[in-house]
Amino acid sequence: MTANRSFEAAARGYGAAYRRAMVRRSAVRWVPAGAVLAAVPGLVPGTEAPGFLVLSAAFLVLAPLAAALAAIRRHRDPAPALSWLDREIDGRQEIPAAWEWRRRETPLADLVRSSGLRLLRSRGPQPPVPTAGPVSILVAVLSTGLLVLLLMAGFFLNEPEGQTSTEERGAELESWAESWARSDDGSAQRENRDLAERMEELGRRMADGSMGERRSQRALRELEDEIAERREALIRDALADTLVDDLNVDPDVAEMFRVRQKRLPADALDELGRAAAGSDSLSRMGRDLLDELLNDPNLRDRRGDGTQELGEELTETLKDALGLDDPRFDELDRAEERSRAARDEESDPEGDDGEAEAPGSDRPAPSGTDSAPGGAGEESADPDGRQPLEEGSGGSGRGSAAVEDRTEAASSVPAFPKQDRLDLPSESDRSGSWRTVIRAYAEADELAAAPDAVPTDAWREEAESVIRRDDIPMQTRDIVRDYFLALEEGPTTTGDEENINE
Amino acid sequence: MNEAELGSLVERARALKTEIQKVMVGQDAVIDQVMSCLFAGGHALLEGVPGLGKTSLIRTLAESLGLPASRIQFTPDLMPADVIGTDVLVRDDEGRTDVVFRRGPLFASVVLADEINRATPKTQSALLEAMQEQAVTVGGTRYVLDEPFIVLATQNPLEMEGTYPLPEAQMDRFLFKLILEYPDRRDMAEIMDRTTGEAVPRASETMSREDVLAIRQVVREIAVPQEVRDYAIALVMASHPGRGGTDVTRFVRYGASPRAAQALLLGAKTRAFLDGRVNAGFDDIRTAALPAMRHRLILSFEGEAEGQTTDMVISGLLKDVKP
Repeated sequence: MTANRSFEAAARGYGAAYRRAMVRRSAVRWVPAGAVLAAVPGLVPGTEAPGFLVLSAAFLVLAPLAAALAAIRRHRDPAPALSWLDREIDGRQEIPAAWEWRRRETPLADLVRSSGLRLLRSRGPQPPVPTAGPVSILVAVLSTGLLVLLLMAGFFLNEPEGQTSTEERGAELESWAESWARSDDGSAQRENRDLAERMEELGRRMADGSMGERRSQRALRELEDEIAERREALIRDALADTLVDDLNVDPDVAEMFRVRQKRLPADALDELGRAAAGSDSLSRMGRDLLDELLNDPNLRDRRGDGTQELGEELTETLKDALGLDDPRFDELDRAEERSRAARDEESDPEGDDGEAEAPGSDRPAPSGTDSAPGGAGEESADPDGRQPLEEGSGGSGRGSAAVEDRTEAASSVPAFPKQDRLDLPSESDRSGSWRTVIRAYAEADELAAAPDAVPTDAWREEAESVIRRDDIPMQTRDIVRDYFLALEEGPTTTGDEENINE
Repeated sequence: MNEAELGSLVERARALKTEIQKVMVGQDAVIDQVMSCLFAGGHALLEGVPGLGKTSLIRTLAESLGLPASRIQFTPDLMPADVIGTDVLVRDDEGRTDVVFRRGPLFASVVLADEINRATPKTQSALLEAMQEQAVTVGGTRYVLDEPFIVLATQNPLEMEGTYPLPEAQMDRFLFKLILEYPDRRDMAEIMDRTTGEAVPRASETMSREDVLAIRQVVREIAVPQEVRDYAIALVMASHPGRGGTDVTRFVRYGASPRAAQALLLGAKTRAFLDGRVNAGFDDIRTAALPAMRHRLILSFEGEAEGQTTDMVISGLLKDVKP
């Protein structure tokens, strides 16, 4: 019995020592595997440095840790350890036999246990255990060193060449947003202060590195969406007020412009048409354009009610025709521009190529003849972006000079024939939304035939490149698509062609 | 049992070997394996050309044990009754007649079945049944054979004409099949010296029946760890076509039976005992592999055509199957 207890105690003690050794060895052997795993995130293009550093560190730690845990679980039973020891010391399976016979009561059981105990202690109090070996340790050290090099390489490789870092762009954004939020030049800024403060916070997080490239891109897009919504709401408010004050439109009718409507009642549209026809606030061009929209059958349903598309067309047209202007619009335009600059769209992994540009940008407009409202003009040329905050520095940013610049910049796209070139009415330097270009007048008193005359394919492609951007609302994209589809199919489609197509 | 008691038995077993070696020159492995059969309770089939000492070995073993021994020379006209005995009509002094069972040569502790393949299958079967059952039945009466009972059969691989090779099923009854090889030059010289002089050495009794039975009991108690047992099973399983390697599938028609695994373990146990150990190991299994398995494999036509032997196949298995 004494031999039994002695052997079992010694065997369990050895089993524990063996388990510890195996845990160490497994962990060391899995360090290279962990290093390989850890290197992978750093080599994936576009991975954010802080993100992959955390991931790599996790892999580097988790792989050996998992191996160690697996070793603990696998070597819970001392039997394999005892078998290993028996072979290691050239035994003849005395130790495994003694372990199996530790609880048996047979005539030879005591002798079997004594034999096992004798062999177990033949190499002193600490029998040999598996070791990691110098080669394994060397490989682990080398692989870890290699990983560090790879991480460093990955860090620098992932930094786009010639581009400012997220932190730098964040710092610029924070600085600009701070001055925006701190500027105290009227109620407009106060209304938008929440946006300014959010932009400042966002810039701060980008600057201190707590927000990676992808997250910052996503946050900035969300911010730009909110800015666009805020601007649209402001425009709608201003338009509703102006319709009542300047065109003497019935307040109930004007109210339908304040909130985006899915359907505009036919009688309200008639009322608007009558008010516009008798208004002196609108130019002739504005009146004609308004009349054209109100009488466009494609923008009406069967009952004569206007579609949501008509509502948005009217909003834009009236805004331009009435010359609605407000520092708040410009303020939001500039904010959107700064946000887009902070996104640094050249590095946009989703492939925004920058050819199409939203309102307020200094990049080429798709038509090459004009840009959307709020074209930056000289504001966009200001690299540090502080100047636009100064009241009145850019105004609306619209003007013939800006139009010409953009025409040159987009020389690669088809342009109107010379005689159809946009000639903005002299009474309004502020017209020039893209939509206006399409519907531009060639002469003062007649509608331009340009949209039907130019190759619409190129226009549609340009439009597609613009409307694929995330900041263009989905519904607006459909409007643009439908518009070009209407250009192609509308006046030129005949019954014969339809038959052919069928 | 304590270490001293065990040691005493081991010493006696070694003394038996020493005693046999007084007469037998060389053939150490065969002597060990015959002793293994004795202590494991099995029987051995010895194969070798004439003159290698098969009969001498068995006779010497019987003399060393001091046990009743008999020799049966198997011939084609040998009948089962000649082996196991028969009922005979006996008239006593008073003129009364009675049927009495007269025991055959099988009723001995050490039986030498010389040239067993020369007897008809009927006679062979009578012997092999007794080997398996440790008893014979004659005229409805069952006669249990004395313990220990060991049959040491011999067969001559030459002169196969007019012989009746043992069927495989009956070969399986032998624990070991031992092959006697020619002695080397030194052993040959020793044999000359010992057998052509004035005094021919004789073995003396060194072990009693009780010793043999005690050793048999101890051998059964020898510990076999699970991994050693698994190794024996793996060897046997690997001898089956389709489960073993390419050579086994090509050259073997039928693999070893479970009796082979039993023989491997018993052989390993006796070897461990003779070595003074109380547990069997992988080496003991490996040592027992050839004698325990060689007569349990049946080669395929391709194997025989290729000149393969079961020993070659088993040697391949020992290389392929790792503990």
